[in-house]
Amino acid sequence: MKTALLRSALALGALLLAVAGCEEKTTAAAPDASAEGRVAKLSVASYDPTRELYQELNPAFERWYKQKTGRDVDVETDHGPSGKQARDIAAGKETDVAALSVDFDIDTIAKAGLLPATWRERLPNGSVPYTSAVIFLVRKGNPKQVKGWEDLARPEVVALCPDPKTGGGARWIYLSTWAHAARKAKAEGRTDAEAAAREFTAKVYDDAILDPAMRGSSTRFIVQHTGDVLFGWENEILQIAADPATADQFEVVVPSDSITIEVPLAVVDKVAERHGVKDVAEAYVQFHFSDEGQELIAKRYNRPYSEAIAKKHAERLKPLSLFRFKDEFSDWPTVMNVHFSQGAELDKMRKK
Amino acid sequence: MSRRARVLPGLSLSLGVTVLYLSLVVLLPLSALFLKTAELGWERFFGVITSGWVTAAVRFTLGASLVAALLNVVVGLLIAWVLGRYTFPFARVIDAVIDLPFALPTAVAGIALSTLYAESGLLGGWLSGLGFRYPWPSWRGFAHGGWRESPIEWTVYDRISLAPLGVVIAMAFVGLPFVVRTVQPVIEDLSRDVEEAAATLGAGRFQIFRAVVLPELAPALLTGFALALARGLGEYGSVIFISGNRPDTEIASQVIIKMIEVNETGTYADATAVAVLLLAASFALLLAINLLQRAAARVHAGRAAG
Repeated sequence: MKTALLRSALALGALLLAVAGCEEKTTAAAPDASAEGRVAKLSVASYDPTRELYQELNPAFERWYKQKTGRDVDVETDHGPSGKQARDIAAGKETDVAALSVDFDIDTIAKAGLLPATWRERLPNGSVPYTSAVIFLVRKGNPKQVKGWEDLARPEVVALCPDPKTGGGARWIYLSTWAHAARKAKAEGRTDAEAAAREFTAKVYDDAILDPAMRGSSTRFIVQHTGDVLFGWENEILQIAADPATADQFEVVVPSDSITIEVPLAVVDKVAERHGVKDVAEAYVQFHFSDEGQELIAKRYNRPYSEAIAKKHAERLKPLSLFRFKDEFSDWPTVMNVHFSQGAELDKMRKK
Repeated sequence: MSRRARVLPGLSLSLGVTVLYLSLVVLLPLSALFLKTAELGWERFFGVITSGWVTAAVRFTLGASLVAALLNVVVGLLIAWVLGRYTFPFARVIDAVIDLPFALPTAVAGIALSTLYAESGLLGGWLSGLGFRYPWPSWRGFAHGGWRESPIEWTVYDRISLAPLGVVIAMAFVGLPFVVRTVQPVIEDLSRDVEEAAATLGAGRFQIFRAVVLPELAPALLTGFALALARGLGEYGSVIFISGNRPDTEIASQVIIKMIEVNETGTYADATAVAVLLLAASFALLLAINLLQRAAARVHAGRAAG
């Protein structure tokens, strides 16, 4: 009797473990343009937190394209850290459109000779269909009283964010922290703005919990109750705050200012040409700038490029003082070198 | 010895297959690693392996797997003893459970442990609610190129997840069967006559254990320790759920992954430099333990003969 009980308990335990293991699996779609009837296949590579956006935008595009040309198209998007996507595409991954989180990553693909270096000029707004900002998420009641950037530097506040070493999205968050401090020091009339920025960013990042990916850090914050502040992209944070399953557990904190996160997309010419889907790919990237695309983008808490649609959603995307990357930093290769490469600023900040 | 007595075909063929297989499966990939590292040149190679990031990670990986292996030697000996010497209800079940960490995919172990020890987990929240605290030493001897007055600093952690103890638990979890499974058969083979003889001669419990049982078990214990240590050093899947999110719990294999992820020219070769360092370290460790084990066996054999 007892043995049977223990056996079934063990079996149940093993089953639970097996289920937990199964959840790990992801259904990676093979991005090849096999001839399946007459349906054109378009493979898109994007970064982590755009899953929900593309779940809506892809079917909308498929309908729009069918209506316009009478042709069927099947869009498949896969997600991963932006830098890794870029590296994989440059190394030969069959992707027709790259929608990544930093233009530096598309430059990586351009350097591999898959699209011209002038790719930014091919679409409106420097190929940036939408922007985002950096905001904070805290637990209900804001137990650590986090009101803005300065609170992140307090030693008792544990910040959680993706790792700038590995994620493109994470680099925007880091740079926003740095630039906020530099701008504040300049506004106070200090001459050593850079030192002030270094000191402030180090205080935030010295023992911050860094997950390799943006989704990973938000999951950790929500499911494992780790950390006091999740700081990340506005679209990701507002989505968590609006999710009925978790809405009553969190509060959004909008800081005084933030960097404008500019996310680019581009057709990977060589691959799309080889697949014979260049025209579909071009229509797809254009669709991001259409009213319908912009509306879907705004619905997912991104700041759309179209002013009219931005105005419509102004209620949800609260105004905050935004500054541009190009006004605070020189260019991405330099920034990568100064901040994120081995032994650079970020490495020096992390306590050993 | 007649030629017929050999079960397998002759030495020349067997040795040929052995050498060929070893070259293809083991030596070829490893030499490719060295070739890639050679691109770096000595200066950069030393720059990489002596950088704070790498040394801290290697130190932590070594320290954590050492603690986990020692813990496993003590607990594994006890478990093997209980399983080998006593009969009790569910002995077979417990015996089977020991092997679970062997068979379990490491990601399953990782997610199970992090579900348990996270702030929202069954144990993690409860323990930190109780005010559970534990210290962990960090080696800061060579900070900024100079020797420090007090090379070891103690940090007090208030949680298990995302802290050194979490990494040690994960390594202990995957390493336990190695100790139990190497020691258990030796315990089962131990003849009780010697212990009984010692007892008749007036030896106390501790004396019997120290002078009679332990020397017999020493080579097996050392083997178990070496295997558990090696597993801890190489463990990745179950540890990454806990390690790497904070600078003080980063393991060496994670540094390799991150160096590749940085996506810059040259960082791939940097990563292979760290890999070579790890390879050399594990080789040296295993060699040292092997020599120690032989010495222990020799001492034991000498004693048994004399």
